[in-house]
Amino acid sequence: MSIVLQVLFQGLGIGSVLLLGALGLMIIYGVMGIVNLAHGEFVMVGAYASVVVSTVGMSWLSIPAAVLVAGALGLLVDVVVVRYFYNNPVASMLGTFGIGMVLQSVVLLVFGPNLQRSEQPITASVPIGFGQSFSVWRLVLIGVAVVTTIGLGLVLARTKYGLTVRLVTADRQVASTLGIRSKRTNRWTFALGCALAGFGGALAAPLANVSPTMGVTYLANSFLVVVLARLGDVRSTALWSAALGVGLAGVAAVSNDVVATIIIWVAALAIVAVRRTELSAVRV
Amino acid sequence: MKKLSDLLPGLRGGGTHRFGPTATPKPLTAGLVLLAFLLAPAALGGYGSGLVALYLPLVLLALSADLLWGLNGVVSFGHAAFFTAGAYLAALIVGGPGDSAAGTLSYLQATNVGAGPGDVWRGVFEALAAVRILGVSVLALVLPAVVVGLFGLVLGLVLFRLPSPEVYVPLMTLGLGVIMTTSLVGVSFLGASNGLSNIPSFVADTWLTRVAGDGMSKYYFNLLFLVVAYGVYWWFRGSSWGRRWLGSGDSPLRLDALGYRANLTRSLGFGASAALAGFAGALYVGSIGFVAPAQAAVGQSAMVLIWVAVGRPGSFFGPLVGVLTIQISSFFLSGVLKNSWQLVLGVILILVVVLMTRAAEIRAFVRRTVRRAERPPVERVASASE
Repeated sequence: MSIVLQVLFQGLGIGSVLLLGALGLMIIYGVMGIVNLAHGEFVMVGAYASVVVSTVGMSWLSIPAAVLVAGALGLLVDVVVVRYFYNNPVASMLGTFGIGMVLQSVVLLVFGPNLQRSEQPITASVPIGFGQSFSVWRLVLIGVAVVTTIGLGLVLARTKYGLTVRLVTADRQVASTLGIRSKRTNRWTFALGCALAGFGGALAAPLANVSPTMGVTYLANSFLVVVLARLGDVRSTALWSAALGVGLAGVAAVSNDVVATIIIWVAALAIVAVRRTELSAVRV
Repeated sequence: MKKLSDLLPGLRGGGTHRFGPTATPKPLTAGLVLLAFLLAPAALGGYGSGLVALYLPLVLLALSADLLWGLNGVVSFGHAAFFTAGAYLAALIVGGPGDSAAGTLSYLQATNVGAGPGDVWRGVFEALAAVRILGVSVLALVLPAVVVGLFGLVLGLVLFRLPSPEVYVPLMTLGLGVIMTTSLVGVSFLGASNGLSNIPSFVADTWLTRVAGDGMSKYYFNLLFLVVAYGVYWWFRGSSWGRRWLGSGDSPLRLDALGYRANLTRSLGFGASAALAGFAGALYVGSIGFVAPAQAAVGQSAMVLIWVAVGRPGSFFGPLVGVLTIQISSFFLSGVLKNSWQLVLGVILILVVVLMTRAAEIRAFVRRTVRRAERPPVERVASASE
C-alpha cells in the first residue's frame, strides 16, 4: 500500500509539470497550428530565470519573474520568427526547433554547461500515511498545477479571449470572417503558452537538474500528453498528464526509468494508432 | 471523413510548405561530379581522404532524410536514432577480440554461467562476421539495414494510418530519439555512455588497404556505396515508384483514388528511408571506429535536417552539398566559435525554414526578374520591325 501511495504522489508530481507544458503546447497548436518544439527551452528559460532571481536573494519573486521572462521572450520570438510559421505545422516544427537551439546555446554561452542548483523554498515534508512522507514542495507543485489548470479552463470557457481561442481553434477561416484578428490572438496565445512553460520550469527547478539541455525530456513527454488528450480539452489534458505521470512513476518503481519511458512511448503509440483521431476539434 | 482541405492541396500543410523537388541533373553533370570525387584523394592525401571518408556515410544519412522531407513532406526527428541503431549492430558483428564489443560478449558470458546464451551470442556474431566477400564482412552492412528498415516499416505502418502523419511522425520520432539515447546509456554491456570503440574498418584486411593505405581505402569503400545509392536514387526519381512516392506526399487522397495505396506507399518509403539511415550508421562505424549513445540524440537528428535544409530539400545533390558545406565549415569553425557554432546552426535552420515558407513568393519573384532580364532592349525591337 505504501508503495502505491508513493508512486501515486510521485507520479502526480511528474504529471503536474507535464501538465503545465502540455497546456501551453495544446493551446499554441490549437489556435496557431504551430507545433512548438522550442517549448522545452521555454521551460528551461523559466527554470534559469527562477534560479537567477533566487540567487540574487528575492526567492519570493522567482516564480513571477520566470513567468514574465518566458512570456516576454515568447512574445518577442513570435514577432520576430514564429509569425512565418502560422498554420504550417511542418515548417513550425523545424523553425521552432531552430529557435530552441538558439535559446539553448545562448543560455550555454551565458551560464556555462554546469548544473544550476536552486534551493527548495519549502524543505519540510509531511506524512502521507503508511509510514511514508512526501515533500511539501511537491504537494505545492501539484496544487498549483491543478489551480492553474482550473484557471485556464475558466479563462477559456468564460472570457472573451477564451471564446476567441475556441473559435479560432475550431475554424480559423470562420473566425477571421467574423472579424476576429487572428494575428493578435496568435501573438498572445504564443506568449501565454510560453509563460505557462516558464511557470512549469520555475516550479520544477528546485526538483530537477537545471541545465541548458534539460528541455528535451519535458518536451517529448508533454507532446505525448498533447497527442493522447483531446485538443483544446483542458480536462482531458489534465487527466492524461496525471495518467502519464503515474504510469512513468509506476513502471519506474517496478523496473527502471528507461523501461518506463519505452513502455509509455509504445503504449502512447498503440493508443494513438487505435483511436486514429485527427488533431483538431475543441471541447472545453 | 476526409476534410475539404485534403481535396485542395493548396490548403493542406503537405503541398505548400515544400520547395518541391528540382530537376534531376544531366548525365554529364553527374559524371563530372563523380569524376571529381574519384580524383579528390589525389589532392586530399591519405589523412584528408580519411577525414572526407567520414562525411560520405553522413551524405547517405542526409539522403535518407531528404527522401522523406524533400520528396514527401514528412520530417523525422529520429533518423539519428536509426543511424545509431545500425552503427551498434554493425559494431557488435564486426567487433573482434580485444575491443569493447568483445567485452560485451564476455559480459553476456559472465551473466550466464556455463554454456549459456553468452556463448551462443558469441558464436552467432562470429558466424555473422565470418561471411565475407573479398574480405569484407557483408552481413555487418546488410543486417543493420534490414533490421532498422523493418522497424521503420512497422513504425511507418502505424504512423501513416493516422489522419495527420505530418504532425504525428515528427512527434513520435522525437520520442524515439529521446528513448534511444537514454536506454543506450542505461545498458552497461553496450558500454553505457562511452559506447563501443576500437571497431575495425570493414576494409581492414583487404587488398585495398594494403595498396591504398587506411584513409584512402575507407574513402573509396564509402564512395562505392555512395555512388550506388545515388545511382538507385537517380533511377528512383525517374521511375513510376518515384512519382508514386511524390504523389503520396502531395495528395494521399488523390493517389488513393487512382488505385494506389498512399499509406502503404508512405510506410514502405519510411521503412526504406530508415534502412538507408541504418546502413549509413553501419558504414560510419566502420570508418570512425566507435559509436556512442549521444549520436542518437534529437539534436543529431536536427543536424541531419540542417544538412538537408542547407542543400535545399528535394534537390538531387542537396544532401551532398549540405553535408560537405556544414561538416567542412564545422571542422574549421567549431574550434574557433566553440559554443556559438550551435547558435549559428540554429539561425541557419530558422532562416532556411522561413525562406521555405516563402518559397512560392520567391519563385514568383525570380520568374519576374528573369522575364524582365530576357525582354529584348527597345532599340533592337524597333530595328527588327523595320
